[in-house]
Amino acid sequence: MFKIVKIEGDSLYPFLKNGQKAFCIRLFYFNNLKINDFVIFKHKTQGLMIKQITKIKNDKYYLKGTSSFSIDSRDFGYLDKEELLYKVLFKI
Amino acid sequence: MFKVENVKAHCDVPCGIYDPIVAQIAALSVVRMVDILEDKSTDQNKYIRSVLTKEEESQKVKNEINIIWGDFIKAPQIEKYPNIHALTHKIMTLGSANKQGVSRDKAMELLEAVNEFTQIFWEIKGVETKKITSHYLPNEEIVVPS
Repeated sequence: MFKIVKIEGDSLYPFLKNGQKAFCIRLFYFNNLKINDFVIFKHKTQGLMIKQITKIKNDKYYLKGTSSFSIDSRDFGYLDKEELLYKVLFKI
Repeated sequence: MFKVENVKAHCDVPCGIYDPIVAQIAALSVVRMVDILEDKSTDQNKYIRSVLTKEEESQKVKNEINIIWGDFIKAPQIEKYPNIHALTHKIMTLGSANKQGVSRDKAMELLEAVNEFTQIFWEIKGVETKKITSHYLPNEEIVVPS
């Protein structure tokens, strides 16, 4: 239900910094998600990744990092809600 | 109680191949070209070739440093090394100065600035460095991983 994650990388700087920990909740279909939420999902080659929701369209989610070099929806497009595993509740 | 799991917030396609050594060799080449140009025995053909090479190598320094500064250096590193912008700008202007004129002082200033940039680059990477004297002319010092 809950998970603590450790951030690896700087693509969400300054909101989430490299090495920082965050407390997260498991997402279910009925959970509400909104723009600016930080969500965790599984990327097919990178494994577990964390990015920020910047657009929501027809229950599909566009995720971006704050860095212009971030690996995000600019590479892999919109994600379905069921692909989003956790949401960050707060930073530790 | 909770198992901590790593999540990736990576930037860049993970090739991560950046190395200031190309800029350092180019800066050494600029110094060497100046030495050749200041040598009274240099013949006309070699003189012209050396001017052209100095031009190319100065530009190479600018290009290589520009790529590392623009693509590799990011906000957390700028926070830690606030002089990185001024240092990069200094390298750009010294690169141009070395294209415009023939001055060993300016060439050495360029090499020293590139070495300073290199020192910061390897510090960011957590790699210790040392200074070595190049094993070829102009036999000047460069910073390399130890």
